Amino acid sequence: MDVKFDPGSFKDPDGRIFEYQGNIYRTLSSSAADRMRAREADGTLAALIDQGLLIDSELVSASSVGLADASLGDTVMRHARIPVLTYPSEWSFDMLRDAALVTLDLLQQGLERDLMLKDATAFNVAFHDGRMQFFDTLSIDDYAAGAPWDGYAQFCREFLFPLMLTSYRGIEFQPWLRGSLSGIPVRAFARLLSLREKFRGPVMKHVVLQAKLDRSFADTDTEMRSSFKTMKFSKPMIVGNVAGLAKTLRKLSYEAGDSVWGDYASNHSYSAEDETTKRQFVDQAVDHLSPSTVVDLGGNIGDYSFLVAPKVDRVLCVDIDPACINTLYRRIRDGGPTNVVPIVGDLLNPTPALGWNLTERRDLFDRIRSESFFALALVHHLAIGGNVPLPRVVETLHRIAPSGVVEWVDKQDAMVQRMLRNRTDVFEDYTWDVFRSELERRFNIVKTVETHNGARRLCLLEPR
Amino acid sequence: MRLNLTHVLNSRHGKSLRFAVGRFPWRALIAAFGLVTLSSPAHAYIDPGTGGMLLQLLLGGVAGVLVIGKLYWLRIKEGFQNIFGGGADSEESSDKDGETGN
Repeated sequence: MDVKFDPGSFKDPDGRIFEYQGNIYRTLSSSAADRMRAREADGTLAALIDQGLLIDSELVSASSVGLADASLGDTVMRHARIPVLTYPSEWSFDMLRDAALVTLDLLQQGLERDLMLKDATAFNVAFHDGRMQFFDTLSIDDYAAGAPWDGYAQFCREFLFPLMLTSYRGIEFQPWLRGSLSGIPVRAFARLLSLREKFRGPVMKHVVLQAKLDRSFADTDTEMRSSFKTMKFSKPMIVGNVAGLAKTLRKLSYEAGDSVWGDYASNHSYSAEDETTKRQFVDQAVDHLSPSTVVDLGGNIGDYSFLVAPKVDRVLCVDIDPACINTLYRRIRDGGPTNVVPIVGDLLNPTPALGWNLTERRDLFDRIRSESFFALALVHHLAIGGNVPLPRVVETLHRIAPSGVVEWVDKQDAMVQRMLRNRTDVFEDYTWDVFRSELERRFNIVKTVETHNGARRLCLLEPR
Repeated sequence: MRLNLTHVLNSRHGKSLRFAVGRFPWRALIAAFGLVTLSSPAHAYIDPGTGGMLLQLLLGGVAGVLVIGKLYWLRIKEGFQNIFGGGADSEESSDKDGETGN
């Protein structure tokens, strides 16, 4: 029997995620199984799934799905499969905010039913089927009267502070969340804010005061939990805090003032004719290769991802610019194709393997490998912007997918000229001949088409 | 260390507070805090964080403010006792030294 446990699922002793015969399941301790049965019986799970807050989940008997191993328990939970899991450091502002709002919404509805979320990590949420969805069903726990919300500080570290950092300071949060899987610590965050920002109501409350209290008492051995019961700490106080947080989050604005690529669609150097040629080329390439999965590298706001989305199972659109990915996410959320996955990612420094044993979170390449890639207007950014020799660029493209479409951008191109305007041209090997021979070592070039009066070339690549 | 609100209210600070906020339901509050030692708190699956817990107490209202006021008061008292010396406190401070070594 081939049961494969997810190496990232180990923190909650109540259950672990595993894969079996292509399906995703979760083991349940006997108390967790009781809890989940109760949530299924009282309609909580169905209500949350219907609202699109919770990923499709159902209890099944282990034997009915062919699981004979007694150590897995009698009852397991089956979840919808998330084909490509992306991490909070790969989300854009609105993705993280929507994930936060989903968490708060779930908590609020839970409290109405005397339930609680036992943690509030952003890793409980995934982008799936066009929206942010909660998937850690085991986080849904019974509410113990008089208890505080244990996930509050975690919610601040992983959602609120990163979003405030971006909204108030104009600093994108992604590198911070990649650097620390547990978010931004409250005392560190308090030091990052200006005096003026500290006087904003929500900042004073959730950052300044929390940091002050933490600084003052974190190293005392005072037991504080009992104080909650005795001072009659009650559900309405949590409800009030949760509603306040949701309001604060909704008010945060995202202005991507420094975005290089946000206006790309209106600023790029394509004539209408060249653009039509490119769209036709990509469209026909997908017809020719008929891949089920495509990764659109440097996909910007997803124009080419959207173009081919109806023809494939899934498109991963990866772009270095969080502002572009935010625009793409909004387009998807507002009715765009739900099989496009927006990912903030830098090919010159992709998400590495992270966490415990370096297996808790998988590296980006491990997750985005596809049947075909698009590398449109990308190679010059890697080779000239990032000083990566062309053979290595081609090697990495091949590692990501065995076929695809690549656009060659010659030195005479206006964009390349601009990249070289203030630096010495040390790129003697940056020529079409070198690039073509490198491509031919790893792919079959099926056809090429020139655009931009010969300054650019589109190449359709088959597996060799 | 456990918090005891009765102690706070019976102290001089408590009396002045009572004077300041005449209509506050002290009796219920005292009754609530008398139960401190009887409660058996459930343990959290994740560390709720000191600041995170105390802030929720603070947002919870006047009683929470008093709990935090008490914590600060204990800290001040401890500081004074450390300066002027005292039987029980030398034990406490040696505990603290031990903690930093762990």
